[in-house]
Parts: sequence; C-alpha cells; structure tokens
Amino acid sequence: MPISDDQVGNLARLARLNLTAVEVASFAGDMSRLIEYFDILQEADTTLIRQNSRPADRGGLLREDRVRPSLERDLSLLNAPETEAGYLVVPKVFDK
Amino acid sequence: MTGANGYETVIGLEVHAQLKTETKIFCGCRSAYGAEPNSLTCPTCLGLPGALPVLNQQAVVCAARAVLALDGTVNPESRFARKSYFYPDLPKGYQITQYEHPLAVGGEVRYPGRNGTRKSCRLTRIHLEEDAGKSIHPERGQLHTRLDFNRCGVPLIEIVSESDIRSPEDAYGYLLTLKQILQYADVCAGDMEKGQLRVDANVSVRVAGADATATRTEIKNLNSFKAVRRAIAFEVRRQIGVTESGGKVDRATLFWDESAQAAKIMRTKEQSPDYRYLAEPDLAPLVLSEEWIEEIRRQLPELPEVRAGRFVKQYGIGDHDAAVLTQSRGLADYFEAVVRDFPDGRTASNWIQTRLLGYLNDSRVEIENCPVTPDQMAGLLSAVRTGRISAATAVDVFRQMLTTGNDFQSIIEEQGLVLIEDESVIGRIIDEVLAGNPENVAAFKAGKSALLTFFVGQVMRNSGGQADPQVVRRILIEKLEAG
Repeated sequence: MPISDDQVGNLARLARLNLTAVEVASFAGDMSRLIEYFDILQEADTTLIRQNSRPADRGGLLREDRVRPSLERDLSLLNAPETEAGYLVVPKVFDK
Repeated sequence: MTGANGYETVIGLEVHAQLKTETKIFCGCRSAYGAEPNSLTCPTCLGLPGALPVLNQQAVVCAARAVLALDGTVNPESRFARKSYFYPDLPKGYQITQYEHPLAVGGEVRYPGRNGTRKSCRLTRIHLEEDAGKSIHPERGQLHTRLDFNRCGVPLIEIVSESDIRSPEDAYGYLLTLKQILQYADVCAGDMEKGQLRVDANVSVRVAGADATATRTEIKNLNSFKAVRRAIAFEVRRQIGVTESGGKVDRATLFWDESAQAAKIMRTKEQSPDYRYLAEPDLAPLVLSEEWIEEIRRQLPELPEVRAGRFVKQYGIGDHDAAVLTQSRGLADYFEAVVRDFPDGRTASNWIQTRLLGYLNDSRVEIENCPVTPDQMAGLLSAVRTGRISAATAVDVFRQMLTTGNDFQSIIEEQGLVLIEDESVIGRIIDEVLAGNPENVAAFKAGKSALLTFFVGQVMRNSGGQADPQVVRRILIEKLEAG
C-alpha cells in the first residue's frame, strides 16, 4: 500500500479534517488504489514521443496592467457559508 | 555580534515587497489597500474552477527592476510553482510562487554599519509570487476568523538574503537600505503599515569561530523594522540562554508578540507544513530576453549609493550629509533643484538638514508636498548671500514660508525685513546710541575695545535688527575713532 495511515493522518491535520481511525484506514486504501491506478501510465512506452515540457509558445504570455471590473461583492460571497459585514466568516485559525 | 560571551549571531532575512502595479499579478482586479472587504475579487483570485491566471507585465518589470537595482542576475527563464497553503485566506488552497527556477539569483545590499563602517549582505534569490488574503483574527473569547480576499493575488517579490548578517543592528541597517533602494527603483512604496514590506528573520547562535551551523529559528509577524531589531535581540538572548543552561535549541517557527515583546512558538519542526511544491500547469515559463533585461537596466534611476558619492564630489559636502540628502529620491531631487539656482551645496545642505527636515518630520509632510519649493529656498538663500536680508531674518522668514506657503519676496517686503544699507540712516542710529552712552564711549576710548560688541548690539536693536551688521561695525569704528 503506497499511502500509509500516518500519511493520511498528517494530510488530514494539514487540511483541518477530523478523521476517525476507521476513516483514515479507509482513505489510505482508496488513495493507495488511486496511485496504483496511475502506475498504469508508467507502463506506457513513451520512447517515440517528443518531450513536450514547454507546451506554450514563447512570448505573448503577459497581460497589460489594466484594471478590469471585479465581481460584485454579493456575487463573490455567494458561496460563503457565513458572512459578516462583507467578510467571510470561518472557524478561528489560531488558538492564541 | 561576537559578544564577550563568545557567541556569534547568524541572521538571514526574507523580505516580501509589494510591487507597485495597478492590478493583481494574475488577474485584472485592482491592487489597492483599504478598499471595502471582498470588493476586489474575481474568479481567478478566488480560485474558482476553470479560471486561469495570466501574468501581469508590470509585475515582471517591477521585479526585474528590483533585481537589477540590487545587483542580482535575472534568469532568462524562470518558472512558477504551486505551494500548498494551509490557511483559509487563500481560497485556491495553494499559492502561486517560484521555487526551483526563481526569477533571479544573487545580488548584494551594501549598507552602513556602526561608526561609519560599510557592511554588505549577499542575496540568495529574488522570486515573484502572489500574496494571500487577510485574516482578521478573533479577539479573545470570539470563535471566528473573518476573511478579506482583496489582497489575494497582489504581486510580491520575496528577497531572500544569505545568512551574512551578524547583529540585530545590522539587520535594521540592511532593511533600511533595502527599502531605500526599492523606493528609488520605484518598485515598492515601502509602507509597512500597509503591509507593503514584510520581514521574516532566521536566527541562530553559534560558538564564535565554529564552522558548524547551529539550529536556526524563524521569526514571523514582524511589523516594523524596529520590531525586527527587538525580536532578533530577544531571540539571540533566548538561544544563548538555552545553550548556556545545557539545552538544545529546537528548530521552530516563532511569531513576535509585540505587546508581550516576546517571540513565541508558532509551530515546531514536527508541525512544519508540507508544501508539496508542484509545477504550475496554468502558466508557461517566464522567458526574458537579454535585450529586454538591458532595457530595464537602462531605465533604472541613479541609485542612492552612487548618488551620494556624486553629491560628495560635485557639491563638496560630507559623506554623512550626502547620506542624509539621498535617503529618499524626493529629498535628493529637492536638494539638486535648490543647488541649480543657488550653487552653494554646503549652505543648501545645511539649510535642508537643520531648517527643513525637522519641520517635515514633525508635521509628517512628505518632501514631495513641501510648502516651500526648491526655487523659493534658493531665492531666500540668495537674498542672504547678496546681503538683502540677514541670516537671522532668513531663518524667521523660512519658518513663515513653511507655515503659510507664501513667497519669501512678499514676506520680506510686507514686513519690511530688507536690511538697511543706507549709511546715512545707519549713521543716524549710531549717533543716537553714542549720545545715549557717554560713559561707555569714554571707556572705549580709554582702551576697553570689547565694548564695540555692546555698541553693535545696541545699534542692531535700535534698527529693529534690519541694519546690515557689517556696515554698522565699520561706521561705528569710524565714528568712535574720529570722535
């Protein structure tokens, strides 16, 4: 299994998710299977394929420094579960 | 800082500088401070699915200007990367930054140390990245953090120094000079209160002369250069204390608590985040031609170090004076504008330092908004030079010019401050003074020549301070010796 319970536990902590031990084990299994699935790609023969690490053309990639209208605030906050005086409200980040 | 206690302090600084652009780094939202919360966002800076970043040309120009002003090397090709981000104030969940292929490497900041010494700190790298939003943390007892995404995507450069700095004072000197150069190069406005410059400090303490690198800690949340100096000094004492008591300094990230004047543990090594850098698939590599880089270099203004050197040579002022006058580009421009019309650099330098800077500091006025224009100051100084007004009068007139914004011509004419040079008028005043002080006249004639000063003072007083003191002196001597 390429993904251990410890790795899932660490990821959960970073993502601020509270997972039970059963959930951790279950995700470790799921994620391992996902990664194993991608291993199929490693088996593909790519010797005849041109390396294509720079897909974009050079030049013309920059934008002029000109202001464009932003979203209306009501619209930008539409997905927020909770707002207050124009701010998004989330559970507190630090336990100071 | 190799103290008597035999320890050496090793400091490296990471400075985030906000670039002077109209818009954000990857979208057309305005990059502005103090707007209504969450009023400057769009699908790109909110990280909505399907929105794509497009790099702002002006951010690249500013960043390249900073690199060249700091003697760094712009890489012909640099790349963007995603850095996983674990706080809610960057809704994409990652920050677009540069990692293995930064915009620039190398560079140097030469800054003044104590007692006129010159110090230098090498730069490791300078890279482009986007800012996160702003979290407004709850007061004690509250449960929620409030988020403003206006700052998400504001363009930054991160300037990473080598660990060449050896004392809190030198860290302070380095930062002042770095800020000055960024302001000269018109890269960053440098207002720390608006978060336009932010500093993290890496600090370790080792036994002096030891090669081994000691464990370092990183201090965050440093909101002023003075806080940087205090926080480093605090951390140096703490680390020495740990070592002296037989302990071991642990790798950790600290935050500076300004109210407690203490650096507190934010996270330990075990809690260090896993950034999971990966190549940013939505942005092509940034490719900059040599011609383009040279064009940016040509557009750089004369930088403070060079300009100060030129001031010393061209205007005959001292090193310290030149350093003061070049502390900001606006002030240096002001000085040179004065000297264009009044070609006595030393006098102009003295006046600016003693009469002008104090006023500007006290009244918190920027030199760009100085109520006295350079040609007005030059005119006033010329009036003293030609003897139209006395130096003492000029000081008073200048004060009035600062507070009222009036021309020196109208002030001296309206208030009748032009020096009396008419010898018959001065002669009459002298006659009155001599007639009123027969004993002193007699004493002078009997050899008490020091009384001349007394007579000059009396005449000046009776003329309301407007008699030309040189003329007074000459006629007084004539009359006293003749009589």
